[in-house]
Amino acid sequence: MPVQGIRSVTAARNGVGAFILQCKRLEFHYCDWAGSSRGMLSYLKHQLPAFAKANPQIEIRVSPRPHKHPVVKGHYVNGREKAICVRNLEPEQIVKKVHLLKEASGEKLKRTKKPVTSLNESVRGIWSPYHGGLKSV
Amino acid sequence: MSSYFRITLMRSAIGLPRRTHDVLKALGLKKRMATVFHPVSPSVAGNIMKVKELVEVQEVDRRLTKQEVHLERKPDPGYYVEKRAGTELRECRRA
Amino acid sequence: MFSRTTLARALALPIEHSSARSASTTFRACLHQATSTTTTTTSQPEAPLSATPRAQTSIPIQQPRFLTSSNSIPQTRADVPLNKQPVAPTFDAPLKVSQSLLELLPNLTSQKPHFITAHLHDRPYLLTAGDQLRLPFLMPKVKSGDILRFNRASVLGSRDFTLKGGAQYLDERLFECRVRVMGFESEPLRITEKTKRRRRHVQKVTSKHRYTILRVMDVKVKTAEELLEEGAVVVESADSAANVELKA
Repeated sequence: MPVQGIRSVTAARNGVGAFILQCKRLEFHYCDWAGSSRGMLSYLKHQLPAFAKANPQIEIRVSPRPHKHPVVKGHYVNGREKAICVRNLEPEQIVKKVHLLKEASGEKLKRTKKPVTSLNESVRGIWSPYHGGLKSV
Repeated sequence: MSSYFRITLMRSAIGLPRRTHDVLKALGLKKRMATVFHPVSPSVAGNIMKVKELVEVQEVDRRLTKQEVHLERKPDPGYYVEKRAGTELRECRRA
Repeated sequence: MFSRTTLARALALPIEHSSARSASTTFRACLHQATSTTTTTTSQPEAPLSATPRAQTSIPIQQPRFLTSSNSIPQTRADVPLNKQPVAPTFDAPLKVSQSLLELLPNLTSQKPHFITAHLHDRPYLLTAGDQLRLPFLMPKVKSGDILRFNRASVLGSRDFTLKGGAQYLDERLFECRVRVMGFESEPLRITEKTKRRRRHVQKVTSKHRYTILRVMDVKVKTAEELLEEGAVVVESADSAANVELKA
């Protein structure tokens, strides 16, 4: 009898039924003294409250990190994290970076060639030369 | 009723005599697949006759703008937004 | 490639348009007849060349009209008519279904699962429910969690049956295909090194494309009862929206 692998009953497919945003936490680090945090400070004061209100599913932590460049870190459901250094960036540029972290899946970036990835079995089945449409020579 | 020639350059004039290039220039055709509109007149018809192997001609009722010619080729997007992200949650809460 | 009659008519077009138009004869102006003065055809009376009646035999092709929301002719790239934008469609005529389609449709609908060949910007994607789709562009004006409907499909099918649209797409009222926007991803930074001959300089070109990630929620072919409930009209002839085929 051939060895059989353990069959998984279900595979997690987020979004088919319910949808869970993959970004669960965003951490904002800044420095009160350094000039590279100027844009970050402005962002924290003016844009961040509105962003936090619009995205209640994301936990937001703001903490100082003195003598360092400002950083935005995203923590994801799959356990990974993504960090973006936002030194010397304008508030508008930081908005874009935060949006990128929010929409990301947390997976490592991969180069894929096929647009569709499927876990399903082929609808039409696998072609066989011995079944159907046989031609006699 | 005035009508127009709709002329599309299907084949390039590279390697053809200088006169052919000049005729295309007179018609305003600079590159392949470019489309121009000219009112139906004997002189334009003569020009087309010179380059009849290179162009495709239709008689149409009006001139199209450049954007309209582009829109003829533009495919349908094939999708539309049915439900925004927040609405589902709000419906669940109300129910 | 070349409409001979069109051109011939234009070459033969005399200066006096009005007299030619008023004469309602059905003489088809021909290039040889108009230019050659030596030959005289038997059907033509002896008359000076300019006086031969030339009626407009071909009707100019009506150009399609794309009307934008402001009801004007599109001038710039910003003027995109409504049917080329991703907006929910409105139908003014009911769906026409042929009798044969109604008879064969239960075969397709009863056999699960289904696949669909959905076209986005005319690019085909073969999808089944639960698939992940990575579009090679950044979809504008959507955010993660949004639900989209795909409304252009060429093929719907199950294991043994296929619903084909033929030359045009299937009518979008025949099926439901929903996808959810999962988020936006990008590929790893690509660096291409470009060199020229006899030059010790390497130009580095970087690219990092961004993609839209979608998840197919359901692929559903509507049953005949549902179609009739939604107001589909049964037509005898074959000019219905699609044709079902039995595979092998």
